[in-house]
Parts: sequence; C-alpha cells; structure tokens
Amino acid sequence: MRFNARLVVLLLACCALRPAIAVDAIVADESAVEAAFLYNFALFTEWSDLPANEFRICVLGSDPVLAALEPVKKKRIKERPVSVTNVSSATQAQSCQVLFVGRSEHASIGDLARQIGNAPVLVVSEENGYDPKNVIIVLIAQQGRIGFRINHTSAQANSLAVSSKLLKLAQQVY
Amino acid sequence: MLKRFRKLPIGKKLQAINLLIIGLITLLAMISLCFYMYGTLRDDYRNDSKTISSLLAESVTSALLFGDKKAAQESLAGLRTVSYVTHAELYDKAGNLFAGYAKTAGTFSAPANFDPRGYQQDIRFGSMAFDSAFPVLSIAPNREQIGTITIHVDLTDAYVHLGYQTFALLLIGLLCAALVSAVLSKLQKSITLPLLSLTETMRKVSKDGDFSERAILSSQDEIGELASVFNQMVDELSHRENSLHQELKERRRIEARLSQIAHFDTVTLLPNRHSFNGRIDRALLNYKYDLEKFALMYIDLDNFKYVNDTFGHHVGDLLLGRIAERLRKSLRQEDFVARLGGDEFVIIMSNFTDILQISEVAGKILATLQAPFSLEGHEVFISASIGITICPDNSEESETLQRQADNAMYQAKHLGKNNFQFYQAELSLVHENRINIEAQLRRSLERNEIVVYYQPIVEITGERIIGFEALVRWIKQDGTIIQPAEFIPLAEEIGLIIDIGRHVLNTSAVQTAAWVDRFGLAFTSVNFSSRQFQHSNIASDILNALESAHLNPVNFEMEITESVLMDSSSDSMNLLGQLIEQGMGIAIDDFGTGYSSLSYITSFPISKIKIDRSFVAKLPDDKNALAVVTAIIGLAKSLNLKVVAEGIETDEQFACLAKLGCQYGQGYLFCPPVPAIEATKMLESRDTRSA
Repeated sequence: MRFNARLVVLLLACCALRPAIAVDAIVADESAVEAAFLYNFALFTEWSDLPANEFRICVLGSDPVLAALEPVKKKRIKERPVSVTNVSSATQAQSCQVLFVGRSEHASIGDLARQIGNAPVLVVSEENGYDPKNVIIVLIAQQGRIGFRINHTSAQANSLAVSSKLLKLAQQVY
Repeated sequence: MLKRFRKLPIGKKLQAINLLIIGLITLLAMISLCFYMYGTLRDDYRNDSKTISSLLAESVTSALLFGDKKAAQESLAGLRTVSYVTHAELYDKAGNLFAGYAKTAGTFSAPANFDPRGYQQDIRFGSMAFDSAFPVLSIAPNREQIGTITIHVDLTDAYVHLGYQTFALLLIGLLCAALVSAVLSKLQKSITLPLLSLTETMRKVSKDGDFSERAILSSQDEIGELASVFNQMVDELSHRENSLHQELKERRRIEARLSQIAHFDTVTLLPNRHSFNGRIDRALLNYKYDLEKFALMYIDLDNFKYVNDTFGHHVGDLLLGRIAERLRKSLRQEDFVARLGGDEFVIIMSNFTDILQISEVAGKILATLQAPFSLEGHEVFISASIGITICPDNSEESETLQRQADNAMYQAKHLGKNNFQFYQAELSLVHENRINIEAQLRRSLERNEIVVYYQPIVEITGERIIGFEALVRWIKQDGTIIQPAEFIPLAEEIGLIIDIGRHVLNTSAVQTAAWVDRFGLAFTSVNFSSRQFQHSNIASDILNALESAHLNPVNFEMEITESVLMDSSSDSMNLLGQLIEQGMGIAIDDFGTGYSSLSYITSFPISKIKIDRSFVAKLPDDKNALAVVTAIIGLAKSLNLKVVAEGIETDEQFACLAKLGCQYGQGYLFCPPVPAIEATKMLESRDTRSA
C-alpha cells in the first residue's frame, strides 16, 4: 500500500509536468526533423474519420519536406499505409489527414484555411507571421531547435483529438 | 555437555529442553520471517521499480519522440519523491544518454559504455542496490522501442528498516519465549513436584528403612500411579521384612537349640561327644604350638547298668545328672568334662605339673562318686573305673589317645573296678584283643553267628535218644567255631548274655516243638546263667518262647547250676512255679561241684540231676569219684529224681554207669553237640532202628 501511495504521488508529479521544447541538437537537415515531427504529430492525434486503406500526408506547394517524408512512406500510421502526396489546391488538400503548408504557400494560408473549413485535416506550417488561427500546429525554429504551438480550438473544431502528451510538449496551446 | 545434562535434576532438564525447543522455534520463525520479509521486500522493490520505470517510460515517450530533453528531465525529476531511487537515466534509441536524474544534486554521472539493451533487471541476494531497465516504447500502433529508461534503486534504507523490523521481531520472540518458558516452568512443577516428593519419600524409606513412610498421592497421572504402586511396594516390603524378621528369629532360636543339641548332652547338660572331638583337636593344636601337655581321662561307671535295671531309666538319668555335677565340682574351671554316651565320661585336663597331680584328681573323682546318691528316695551307690593317658607322653594323636584311655579304663575294670589306671603300653595288646572280640560279639547276633547245637541225651539202657541239651556256639563268618567258655563270660560282662540267652531259648523252643510233633521227643534242656536270672524276667521269657513255638512245658527243661539256684531269689522261683506246675523240668547242672548243703534239693522243685563231667571222667578207676557218683545216683533214686551222667567218653565209663544204675547219659561216646539238621537225622535213624 505504501508503495502504491508512492506511485500515485509519482503519477501526479508526472502529470504536473509543464514541459517546454528544448531541442538542443539541430538536425542537419531541418526538413528531416520536420518530416519526423509530422509523423509524430500523426501518432499523437486521433481522427474522427479515416480513409479505409491509406493515411495521407500531403505537402502543399513545393517544399523540401516532401523529399524528407520519403522514409515515412514505409511506415504505417493508425494501421494504415502512409501515402505522401504533393497537393496544389485546398480542394485537393481536403482529403488529406495531415497537411504541411510549404513556405511558398504562406501568403494564401488564410484562403486555404477557409476552404478546408472544418474538415478533419491536421494543418501544420512553419511560423511566418500569418494568422496562426488558420493553422493547427505551428512549427517554431529558435536557436537551432524546433518547437511548436498547438491551436487546440481549431483542432477541436476540425474534430481532431490531440493527445495531452503532445499538448504538454507544446510551447503554447491556444 | 551431555554428561552435565544428565546430572541435572529433572526440573532443570525439562526447563533446558523447553528453552531449547522454544529458542529453536523462535529462531526458525525469525529466520523464515526474515527471509520472507527480505523476499517480499525484494519483490516489492522489483515491482515498484518496474512500475516506476513503466510510468516514467510512458511519461517520457513524447519528450523522447520530439527530442525534448528538458521535458524528459522534468519527468525524471518526479522521482524526487521516491527516496530509494538514487539516480535514473533515459537513453535514446541509439543508446545515447538523453536525460538523467540524481537524487543528490551534482552526483549524477552516467555510467561509461553503458548498453541499456543488455541490461538485466534483477536484485542479487544481499546486494545493497540494483538497477532496473525498462524500454521506452513509441505509441500505438507500432510500439517500437525508441529508448531505454534505467533507474538505480538503493536498498540501504530498506535493509535498515528490515533490520529494525527484525530487531523488533527478535524482541517480541524473546518476550514470547520468556513468557512461554515461565508458563512451562509453572506447569512442569505439577510434574516435578510430585516426583521430587516421591523421590524424597523413597530416599527416606531406603535410607532409614522406615517402612511406615508413604508417598502422597498428589496427582492422578502416571506419577500418581507410580506413587500408589510405590506405596504398595513399601507395604509389601514392610510385610516381607516383618515375616523375614520373624523367620530369622525362629531360625536363630532353632539354630541355638540345634547347637545345644549338637554340642550338649540333654541328660547331664555336659558337652557331648561331638564337643569332645572338637576339644581334643584344640588341645592337640595347643600342644603342637605351645607344647601344652594334657591328660585324657576316661571314666566308666562300674555298675550303672544295675542301677538302670533296678530303679529304671528315669533314676539312671537322674544319677547321670548328679554324677555330672559332682565331676564338674571336683574339677577346675579350665578342665573339660563331657559325656561320651551311656555311662562314659571323659575329662581333658591341661596345665598340670606332673602325673601325681593327675592322680590326685582321679582319686578325688573316685572319692566324690563314692558318696551315696539320694535319688527319689533311693540310696544309690556307684563307683567308677578311670583310664588315663597323657599327651605327648603316650601319643600325640587323637584316636590313639582315646584308645589308650579306653584301654587303661578297661585295665582298671580288670583290676577290680573303682580305681584309676594310667595307660601302659604292654597291657594294651591283650586288651585290644578283648575289645576286638567284644566288638565282634556285639555284632554276632545280628549276623546270625550265634547258633544252637544239640547234644543228645540217651537212655543208658538201650542207648535211645530221649532228649537234647541245647548248647550255644559262636560260628564266625570265617567258619571258626568258638566255644561258650570263651565268649559267654564276656557276653555276661557286657550284658549281651540276655540277648544271646533269649535267642537260644527261642530257637531251641521252635526246634523242639517240631521234634516233639514229628518224633515224639521227650524234652530239650536249655541252660540259664545267673545273669539271666538277675537281669531279665526268666519266667516270662520262657513263657513267651513256649507259647510262640506252641511247645508244651512238659517238653522243656531248664538247666541251671546249684549256685544259680541258691542265688536266685525266691521271687524268681515263684514266678517259675506256674511253668513247673505245667510240667517244665528243672535240671541241676554240674551237680556235686557246688554247695555241699543238700537241703535245697528238697526245698526246690527239681526234676533232674546232672552228674558233673569231672566225676564221670575219673570213672571207673577213681574210688572217690566212683563213691560220689554212686552216692548221687542213690540220692536221685531215693528222692525220685532223674539222673544224667555228663561227659561220657569211654565204653568203660558207660559200662560203669550202667552198672551203677544211671538212667541217662550224655557225652562224646554217644554224640558230640551237633547242628539241628544232624540231630534231626539222628532222630530219624533212631525211629527207623526202633521200628
């Protein structure tokens, strides 16, 4: 009983952690890190509805991330084979589960958000001065490390359940 | 150790056993409890560390995935509340340290060349610390291992705690043991106390022999039973001891009595022959070692038999007692006097200067015995013959000394009695011969050596056998025939004549009865001595003999000498009167040699006269003898008595007697005395001749 009590204490302590992203090592290839992040985000997020035989990660616009996602294609997410697609329009993007908005498309990010609306698409983008409410996860590069912010409100609006573990790691949740 | 245990009293033993068992049980319980506690502790810590590891792994998964070292660090810092985890490490997939935690700040250092993949999670026995590794898995669905978390657990505190617990348990165990042993001690007293009390009682009984002690029956278990059985045993013992005591007492009494009988004569209260034998042996030993001389004195009363026969055995015994008294009084305290049996006494005297002193004592004894004894109204006179021998002058051997004293005593008897004689070697040979004969004679009757011979008495005219004279012969086993003249005086002296006489009487009566029946024999005459007249009831003896042989007194003749006839009291003759009336004849033997007075011939109922052989032998030439024989025959004829001539050996004597008118004759001319069977043959031939 004593030990169990201790465990409870430990558990509470773990839950009370307020983690902050502090990635020391800068991955040589920043795109590779971003690709890994995309994959990990998918792991910590639950979709209300998924296609039967694939899990789609889409990259809008031309971005090195597309190439970095190559190894992810071999993996399975939610017991589905991963497919990586380069999309050019918001319409195309609506059937994606994860959508990475490339640097080249940042200007039209407001329209994109509007077109996707409440579709269950986890929209990820790098920080670049746009209205963050249009993107669910914003990657932040600072001092050679990559952190992220999570728009929990949008995620909920788009029927995406983001794991509390991911929320804990986020620099900011809004 | 075991030896000392054995010597312990039972209470201590039980206590020791109790303590040992309780101690052992406590120890075993303690040890198993400690092991159990230790095992539980290990299991608990193992499980705890596993749980902690798994929780940590869960919480650091995302941090590791997103490379957030800080977040991982903070997660690990949550271990601060777990005091026994000294440090923890988080390794990434490649095995590089990702985050770390140390309980004491600054002490954390990652182990060099650590490969968490080969890390085993276990607690070795007795180890003070252990490491636990746990994989950090990626989240579903692939759950691939993305790192490893290790925690290092320090068990020191746990052990200290375990130590405290053990100590507390030990205290409790000791307390329990003390309590239990105290209770057991109390309880075992119910066993040991009755045992102790029983032992005490037993000790009292066996030590003091006090059989009145009884054990208290304090319990109803085996000890109670033991006590009760013990009591029964003591009862039995007490009973047995009592009876043993009684038996011993009785036995001692009987032994004393037996000893008295064995060593003392009941009549005189003097020591007996048995004592004498012991005493003479001691005297001989005294001589052997101290050269102490001693005299052996045999005393034989001279006419004790007469006293016994006259006054009865009762008076005889009284006399012996009084004689013993007088002997005792005439001796010194240290002298030994014993009764050997019958009228024989013996004295052992030592401590004397010379023979003269012994002579004085012997003389004194003779003198003291001469004074008359007054016994139940009778005045009894007695004398004694004393034989003396001296050790070592005559011999140094017990048997020889006794024989010498005996010889000397007989010598005294021969010298007229009532005197004492010292042993003389040259006299002993004659005496010993006599003793020898005496011993044989005493046995002769029982050996059937005393035989009756018969000498025919014939009518001078016609030479026909009309009767026999019974004559006694002693035929020894070697065939030697001993004549009456040689042994009758001795038989008279030793009193055997009565028995011999009776034997002759009975034998001849039976024989005569047969002859009377078959051949019509007239008579058999039997000799009687003066001793027989004195010492037995002749009349009843004859009567008994005739009756049992169915012989008519007419066919029986009593032959006695003149002196017997003269000496015999009128009483004894009166007793014979009845037989004489019935026709028994009385013949006077050796007529003419005794009393010159002839008056008795008329005053006694004599039927026959036998002319002594000394006269017959001188016939026919000696004028004097012829005159005497002629006178006797004439006397007999005139008194109407029958007359028999004895010892006829020649035809001249026979012719002379026939001429003188003698009726009957007897002698070697006709026939010597012969055994009964030959006499029978002669009667047979007589009858055939006459027939």
